[in-house]
Amino acid sequence: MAQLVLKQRTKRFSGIGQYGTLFAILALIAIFGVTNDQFLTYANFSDIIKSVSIVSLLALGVTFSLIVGGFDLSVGSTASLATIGAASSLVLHSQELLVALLVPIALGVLVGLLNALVTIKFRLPDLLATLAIMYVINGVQLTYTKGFSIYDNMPIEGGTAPGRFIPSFLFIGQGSIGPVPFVAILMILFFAGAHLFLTYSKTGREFYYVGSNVEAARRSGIAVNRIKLYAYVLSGLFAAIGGIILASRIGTGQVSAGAPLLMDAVAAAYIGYAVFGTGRPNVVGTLIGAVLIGILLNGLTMWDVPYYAQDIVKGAILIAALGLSYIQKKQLT
Amino acid sequence: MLRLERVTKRYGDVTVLDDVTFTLRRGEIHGLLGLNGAGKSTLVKLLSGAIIPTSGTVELDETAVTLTPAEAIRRGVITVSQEVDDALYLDLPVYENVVPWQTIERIRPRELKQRAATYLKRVGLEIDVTEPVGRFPLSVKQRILIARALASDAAYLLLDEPTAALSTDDAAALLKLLQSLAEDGVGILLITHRSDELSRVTTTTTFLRDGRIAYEGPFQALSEQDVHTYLSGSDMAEAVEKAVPETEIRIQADLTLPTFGTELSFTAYKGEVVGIGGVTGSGKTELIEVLFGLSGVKQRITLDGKPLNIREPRQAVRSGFALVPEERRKQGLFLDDSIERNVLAIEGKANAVTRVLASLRVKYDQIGQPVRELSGGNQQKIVLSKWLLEDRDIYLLDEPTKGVDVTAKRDIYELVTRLAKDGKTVIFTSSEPHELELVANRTLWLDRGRWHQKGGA
Repeated sequence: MAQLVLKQRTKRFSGIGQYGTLFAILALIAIFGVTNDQFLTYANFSDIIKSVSIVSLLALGVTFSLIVGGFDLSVGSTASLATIGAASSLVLHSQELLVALLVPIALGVLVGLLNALVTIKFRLPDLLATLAIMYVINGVQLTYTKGFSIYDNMPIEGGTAPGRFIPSFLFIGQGSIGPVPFVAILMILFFAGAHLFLTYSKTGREFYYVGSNVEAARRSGIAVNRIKLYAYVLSGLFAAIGGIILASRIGTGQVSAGAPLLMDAVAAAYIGYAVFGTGRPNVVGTLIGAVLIGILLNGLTMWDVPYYAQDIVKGAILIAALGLSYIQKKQLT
Repeated sequence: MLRLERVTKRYGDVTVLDDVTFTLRRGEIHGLLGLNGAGKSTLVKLLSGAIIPTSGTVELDETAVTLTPAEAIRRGVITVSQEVDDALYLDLPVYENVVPWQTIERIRPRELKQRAATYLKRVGLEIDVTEPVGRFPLSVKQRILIARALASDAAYLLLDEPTAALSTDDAAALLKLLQSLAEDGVGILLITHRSDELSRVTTTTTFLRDGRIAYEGPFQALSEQDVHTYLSGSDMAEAVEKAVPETEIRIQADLTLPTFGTELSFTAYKGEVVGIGGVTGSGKTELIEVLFGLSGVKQRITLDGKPLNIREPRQAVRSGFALVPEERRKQGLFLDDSIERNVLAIEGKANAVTRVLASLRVKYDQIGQPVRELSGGNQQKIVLSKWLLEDRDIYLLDEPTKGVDVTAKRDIYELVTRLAKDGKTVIFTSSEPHELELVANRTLWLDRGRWHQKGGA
């Protein structure tokens, strides 16, 4: 038996890969902290967390789609649809909290089912199919609102809108429990839940099997299509929750408010590949990616870098994140 | 006992297995030998439930069963395919690849890692179970798959050419492992082309030829002549009457293979069929690609005494080279285009198309039919046809009989001989020694980018 034994070591992905993203965050905090005395304040960090929470939830949705080997580009427009859904329930239909939450959530799930339909049943490539759905959803909310935002006391036919953004709804995005913003608690809960689900439940692990090798997964008896369906529904769901927080934070239902969040979310998820050097999408990595982007944007704003120039920085970061994750992927094949 | 009872498998009007009865017993290593297209992989697919027989029955432990892939795994019939990457989750850690999905009840990473380590130990692996599988070499990946098979209580292991791409040492170690598994009562089906392996480890060997069983019994009792007869049959040998090479040198090449960084020289004569033998990854395809200008590196080649400067395929075509690439569907055909367009892809007159197709005995309905609809053998003939409209001097054929049925194969051998008789030079690669013996005037063997003395068999 002795000569049968084969000991094999592999080269671990070393250097910047493994903990690079964490170092990058610490470095950014240090740089921004030294150059701007307003940066390291409670008020500013509370701000950062509030904006990170929205992007991170969209990114969480994207992560689910990436894990099963898909790609959901519709999360931005789903978030927009959700803000309109919530605002319409509150302002135009004078509904209470529960309805204002259920309507956008149902819309998000619906978009997820639609994405699943076109990718699984019609077998369209995920990237293109969800891109098309993105356009459709965007058109739907623009048609519904005729292109106008929904806000308290807005003029409608025969007077002003009957309802308003109620305080309990606004608490979601603006309130805090003790010194901790409520959205931070929500974000941590959702991420912890998603992480535990993907790591410790059988169904959760099936997501990874499907994304890693569809054919092998099918041959080992995993219901591949059902798992993909779950992933897209979860993606729509988290995008909708992001949209609810967005509506609550700005206190209006703005058309296309979620659109600019898409690329941030995609970047966060891809930065997540590189965190821990595993080279695959993961929930904790996505959270760290979202935080990195949030800190960066906040710091750049404090440096008076105009928002349009910030896109250049974001694009560069996305390239770096993609580069890192593809280098790691390459080592695996 | 895993058994095929009078099984026939047909695809359309092509019969791939014809009334075959085959038994795999627990505790034996059963060799399976046959040329490409003889029906080996069909037999494995039937045993593992990937396909169902057209007629006849599959029996497991004395009862007739209808197997699905998942059911086969559940009953302990495990296939280790040649393409191990297709069965592995490359970016997931080793332990998640080893412990079979169906047997997990609760996810406790620590427990899973321990279970994985136990099975890995049984296949002689001591590796870090948290590493992604993709970082390990082929020999380790194969053992990981075998460990997975053990973890699903494998009673029967079906291995499709597991040693083909392994180094000699790795192959020997794998065979030892298989022997120890057989001693533990696992029934092992071993597909291999290497005679030394068959005579060393198998208890019984079955030869498949043209979808029928040509021989079943101990391999050790066979002479080299017997092996040849059982593999290719006497009529195959008759069909191919080799041309006699002329004395004029057509190609003198001093090449550098980029992937291996090795230097290779060889000469080919007018009217000669040069066989290039070697396993997958030995450098056959690289050699062909270098000759055809696909390497992007300047190479020293003289054609009929004149130096050539080929840096891209366009120049190779202009100098009289023709290429039949290894991956015909990916690299050789425009699958959705018609037969006619494929054949006319290089140059030539439309009215010559049907003549060439007829000379190769291509089976088709009409010339406007998309190539995708044709069988593997006929597709390969289309790839060949496009180089036959205009006169070529050198034909580079990279595994031209891979995935081609027996009749088409014979037609290809005949074509090769005809080309040689017309004074063309043919470079013919294959991993099958018997095929090269049949068709080539002279065979050179490659191993990791270098010539070496004797072949794998």
